[in-house]
Amino acid sequence: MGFNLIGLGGAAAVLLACVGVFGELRQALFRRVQELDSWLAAVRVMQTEMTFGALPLSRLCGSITAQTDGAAAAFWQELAARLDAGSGLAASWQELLAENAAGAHLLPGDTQALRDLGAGLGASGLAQQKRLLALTEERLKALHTEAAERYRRLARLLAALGWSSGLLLICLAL
Amino acid sequence: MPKDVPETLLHGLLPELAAAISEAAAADLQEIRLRVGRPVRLTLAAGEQTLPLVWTVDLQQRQLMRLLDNSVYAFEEQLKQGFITLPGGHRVGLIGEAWYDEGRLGGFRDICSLNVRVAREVIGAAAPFWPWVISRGRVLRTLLAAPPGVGKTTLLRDMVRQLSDGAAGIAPLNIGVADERMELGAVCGGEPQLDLGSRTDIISACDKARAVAILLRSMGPQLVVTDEIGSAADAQALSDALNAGVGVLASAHAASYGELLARPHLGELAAAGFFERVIFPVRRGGGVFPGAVYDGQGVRLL
Repeated sequence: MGFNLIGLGGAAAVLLACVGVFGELRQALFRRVQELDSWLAAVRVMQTEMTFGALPLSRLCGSITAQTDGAAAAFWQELAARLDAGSGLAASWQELLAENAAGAHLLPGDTQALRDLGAGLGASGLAQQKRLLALTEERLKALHTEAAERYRRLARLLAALGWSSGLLLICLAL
Repeated sequence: MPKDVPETLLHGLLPELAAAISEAAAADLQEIRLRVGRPVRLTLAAGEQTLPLVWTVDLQQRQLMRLLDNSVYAFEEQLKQGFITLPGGHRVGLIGEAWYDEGRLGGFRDICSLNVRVAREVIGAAAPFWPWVISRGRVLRTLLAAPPGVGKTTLLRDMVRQLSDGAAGIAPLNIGVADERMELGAVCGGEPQLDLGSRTDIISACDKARAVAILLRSMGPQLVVTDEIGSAADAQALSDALNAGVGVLASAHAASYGELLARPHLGELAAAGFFERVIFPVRRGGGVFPGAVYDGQGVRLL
């Protein structure tokens, strides 16, 4: 009787562990979509504020932080603190990207789009900035579509894999 | 940190430069001259001081981006004119290699020289001028003329402040300021960085002719004030103000009445008696006082 209970508990633990591992993978895919969502919102705020108000970056930081949430808001908040402390924009931007401050679930392609944005941000006239932001928005949109599609495609599969791999391990152990 | 260097200015400077200035005896700092490959020079009331800091291309680029708040796009129009205005009203002149966009000056690349001019507020500076500017409770149409560096803008600013706040011995006036170069009020984020009084409306970074027209049309000022007039459009704008029955207070570059009359447009205005007073302020003992005063007929009163 005791042996059976221990076995049952072990089987449940294995099952939960497998579901948890694959659940985490599924969550990582979902969070990437959310982080890209947040960045797309930030880029749109930048487009609005630059086009209609030519707002300088120190004030843009506050605007983005107030109008967005998630990864981009946290990134801009930290960027504002560094700029206020006297750091340069380009260096601060690249440092924050290296520290994964733009989002812990972004892929190298996503980060590259943001790196390119940071390299040109603020360094030219309004027309060029608008082009830079439009290009960044296009890239982020494409990445977002691909991330959402990947999540949609893999979410059920990962859930099923969690359960089935757990059950498989239990069967193998019997 | 020297008491004479405003905090708002030091905040905009690179730490290396701020430290070098702080170590210098920069009493009554007026200008900071930054030229690539040359040592930093300060213009003080007592003369010039050279700092032991050679200005490099790297320093120049970092300094420029800091002054521009990392936002070239936000200062695009000012950059085309060769200056930017900082919080606190300090003005930075910048030049380099000019580039053109469809025949018009597009701006400067490879900026090689910066001239940081420290803005000052001298409260009460206008007091010695009121006997010449105000007559029978009315502000006469007045032109302040002097060479650069005498303190015309500082004086004009204090005149506006006192007239707006009713501190000039007459009833307070609603004043419209056309601050094309953003030196008078130095508006940043919608707020004047320098005190122009409580009844003053300011149009910033707009050409004077257009700004005066907008002020007359939309703000109903009793007095229009503008700095450093000279072009035909400026002269026309002032004439429009006169036609609207609004008083005028302006400044211009000219070392003498003869030089003023020799200037196109401005000379014609003066010769036609547009200005009821032309005052040439001079620096004396740390203050600014009326040096020469002329009436509308060109008769010297002082």
